[in-house]
Amino acid sequence: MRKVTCLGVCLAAVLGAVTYGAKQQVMILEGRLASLERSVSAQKEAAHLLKAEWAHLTSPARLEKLAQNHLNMAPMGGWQVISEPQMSTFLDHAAPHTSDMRYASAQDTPLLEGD
Amino acid sequence: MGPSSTYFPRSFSPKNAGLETRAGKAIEVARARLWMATIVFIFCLVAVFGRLVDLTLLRSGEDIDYLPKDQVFASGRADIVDKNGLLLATTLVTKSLYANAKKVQNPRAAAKKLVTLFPQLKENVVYSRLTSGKTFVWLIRHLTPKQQAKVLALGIPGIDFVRDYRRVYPQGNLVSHAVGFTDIDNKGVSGLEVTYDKRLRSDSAPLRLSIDTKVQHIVREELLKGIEEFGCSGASCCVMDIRTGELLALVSLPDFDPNAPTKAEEDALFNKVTLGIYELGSIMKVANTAMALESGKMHLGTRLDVSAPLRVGRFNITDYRANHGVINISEIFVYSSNKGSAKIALTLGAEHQKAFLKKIGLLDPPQIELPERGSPLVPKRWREDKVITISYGYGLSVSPFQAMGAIASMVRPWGKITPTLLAKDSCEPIQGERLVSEKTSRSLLHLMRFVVTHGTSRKADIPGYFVAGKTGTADLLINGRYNKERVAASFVGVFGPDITQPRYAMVLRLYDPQRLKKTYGFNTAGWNAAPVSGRVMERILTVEGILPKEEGKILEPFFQNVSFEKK
Repeated sequence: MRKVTCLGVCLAAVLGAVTYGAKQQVMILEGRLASLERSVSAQKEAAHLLKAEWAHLTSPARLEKLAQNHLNMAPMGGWQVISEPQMSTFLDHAAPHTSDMRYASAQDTPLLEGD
Repeated sequence: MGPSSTYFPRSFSPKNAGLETRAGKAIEVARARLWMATIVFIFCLVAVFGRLVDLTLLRSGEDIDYLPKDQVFASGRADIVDKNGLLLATTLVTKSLYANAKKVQNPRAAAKKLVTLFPQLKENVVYSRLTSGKTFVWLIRHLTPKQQAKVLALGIPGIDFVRDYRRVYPQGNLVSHAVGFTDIDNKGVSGLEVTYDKRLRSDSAPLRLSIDTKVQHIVREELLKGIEEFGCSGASCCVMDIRTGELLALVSLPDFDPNAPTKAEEDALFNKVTLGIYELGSIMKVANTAMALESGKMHLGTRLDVSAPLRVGRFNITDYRANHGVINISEIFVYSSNKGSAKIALTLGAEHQKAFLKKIGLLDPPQIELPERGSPLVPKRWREDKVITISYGYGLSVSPFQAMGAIASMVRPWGKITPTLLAKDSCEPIQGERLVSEKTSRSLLHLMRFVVTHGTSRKADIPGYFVAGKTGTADLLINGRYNKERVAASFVGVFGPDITQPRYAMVLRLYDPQRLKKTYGFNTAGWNAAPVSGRVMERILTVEGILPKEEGKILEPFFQNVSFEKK
């Protein structure tokens, strides 16, 4: 009888200790979870701010100005676009005169004007 | 039982306790005290143990610092993005400054200090707030981190910061009229911010608009150049994907910065595309010609005599260029003859005209997602003089976007279309009810093409592409009189790779363009609205990567052998 009681008390003590340990573990984890969630939310806020800044920095007006000032570029004209059937004639005309395609302009290739 | 047991060993016998000696009494007292102390100690231990259980196992009163669940949608108002996902409106976290007036010790000095940091504050206002005795009074909303640091450096007791949210529009003026703006508490005040106020508050997914920022920028920039070039007081333009009805650009100038709407003038807040209604002038001839072709009583070759003078009240109707004599329906359109248009309308009658305009939707309020939406101003009595003037665009006022919608609905091969500001998932053409026959649709496109190749809109042509259009110049009504010197010049156009694939529709208006040397003293649309539109269309076509295909295809036999002189 005394043995059984002793065993019961021991078991209860062990179980109690295990439960207590588990509970502590959960508490620590919950604390970490909360702090992670807070940091995620802070990061999200920061990302959001950066997105807004990115949208501001990539606004077409700004990009156009930068391209004009630093790359010496201008909006494309209709004459700079040709359709596929015109391509072969364009290449035939352009190739003998200029070694570099970049210098072929509408002035060299009258076929681009008119329709 | 602690140290007491050493003083009172268990061998202490009860028989001695009853001794009526001084020592016995002292022992009695000590015993009673001992019991008292024991009880107190036990009570304390139980309390400590209970608290231990409470803290470690039950954990009552403990607050794990979780984020509130609604923090998932932290800003409280969803973003607005353009067709390509570029941010147009977002909500950022800021700090706002408030005071607990009960805790402010020296309100006079505090007010002085704050005013030196924020000159927009008035010292007596701040002072009265600081002395109001309330526990919460706003001092200033939405501080930048730098300003926040400066306020902290002042070290004023009783003022503090609170987390606040602010609507921000990273594109500034660019899309001001479509997106609109909110008040300081982030409630929609104008534009789509009002229409979708509830949606933006309840659903965190961004609201995707049909506006394409690239196209919007092109339109706005070319309009600004146009205003500069022709000395206009304002301008407006919208561009629609004719397949889906998505409005890719909606610009009304002057515009405003939605980040600081209170600084804007009234004129800048006014949306000239959807709210303003105007007499559109010759643009209405598209509808008038469609009415003629649909009536069954006339066809493109029907000849009308326009040589006789035509009067409305005291006024003689004149044609912009010399009188034409006998001309057919197609010439009336391409040469933009007022008298010819009036003749068509008079032949068909008031009821017919009214019914046709109703059918194409020009007499009813338009549909658009904006609260700024102007209903047409329709004459109360549809008498003969109205029949005549409406045929060439006076006496009926509609918003430019509504006119564009009606014209696009007639000329597109897929029937009626309703312009929208929300993005569609597919670019498949939307099929709608047919307003006019396919033959009339094609004829209108051809006629509008001839206006660009041979008529008044030649400055809008882009070699290689299909550009069709119609200009309109309307005298402005100033103090109840039409003033020939003050006009609004409009262009309505349809453009794309070729006539079988119209891709975009647009309407552009310049307000009060000046007569200039380089326009040979003209202020009509062909000299200002047409070239500005041409530049807009050219840049849109190239940016969108559309290849030119226009081969001058003739889809309607009538136009095979027709020739228009370049006037």
